[in-house]
Amino acid sequence: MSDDLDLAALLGEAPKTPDPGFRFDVLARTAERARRRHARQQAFRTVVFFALVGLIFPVAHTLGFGLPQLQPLLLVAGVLALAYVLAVWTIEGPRAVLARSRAVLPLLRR
Amino acid sequence: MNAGEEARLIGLARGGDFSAFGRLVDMHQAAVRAFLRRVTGNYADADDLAQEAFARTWEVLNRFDGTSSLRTFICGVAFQYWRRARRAQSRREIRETAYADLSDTQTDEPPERAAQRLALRKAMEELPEDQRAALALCLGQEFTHGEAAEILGLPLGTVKSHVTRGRARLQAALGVAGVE
Repeated sequence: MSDDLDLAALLGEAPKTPDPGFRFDVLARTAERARRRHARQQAFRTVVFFALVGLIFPVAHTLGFGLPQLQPLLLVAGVLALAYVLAVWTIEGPRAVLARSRAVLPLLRR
Repeated sequence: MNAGEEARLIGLARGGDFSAFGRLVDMHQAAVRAFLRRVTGNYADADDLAQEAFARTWEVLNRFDGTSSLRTFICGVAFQYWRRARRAQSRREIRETAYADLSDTQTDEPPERAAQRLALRKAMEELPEDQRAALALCLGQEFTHGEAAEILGLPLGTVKSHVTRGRARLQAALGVAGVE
């Protein structure tokens, strides 16, 4: 009983062969952690974005700019933001129009 | 599998290839799970920690510089997880789980072997953290003393002395179990 291997076996044995169930659990856990990390990063980015948007007015006011001077800038920013949202919706949104049209392209080439 | 193939899989996994990472998991799961099973004394907890360690390894794979083996790197992560989990649990809870686990999973073995297993687990729980981990790594001969030193972040001499003293205590515990 003094043998190291016997002591080790008594304490806990290694699995004899790689367990596919274990691998599956690891990959599921890894994917879940990645999803959570991505969600955290996205939440952080959203908070930072809206905080910056909210800061525009007090900062502009402090620097002496009023709403009339800021209006063209805000208009351009608004249009750009709308275009961005529309592009994301087209690519990744629930209907994913662009993705579906790309999937159809190989069929049209036949 | 050779080192070149492992390096190739690591490269692919760093690029986000899940199937390559799955093969790395298959390559190293036996050593990591054995280490954690010995150190925790509970197979379910050990596998849970092993899964966490592998999942964390995926996240920090870019930090792996190749100076040690990947198996050593993963076990280092696993050791940190075990230490954190151990601090979160009370000693009493661990002992209760060990008894429950023993009765659940080892019903088909001879009673004297079950008694030895129980005595060993109790002896392991009484060892200091580093000594326990050094024993768990080195007794099954999955890891050299040098690798264990790297995983635990201890000098080689300390690991050797931990293994020698720990082994003596486990053998003494077995002697007591035999008398009982």
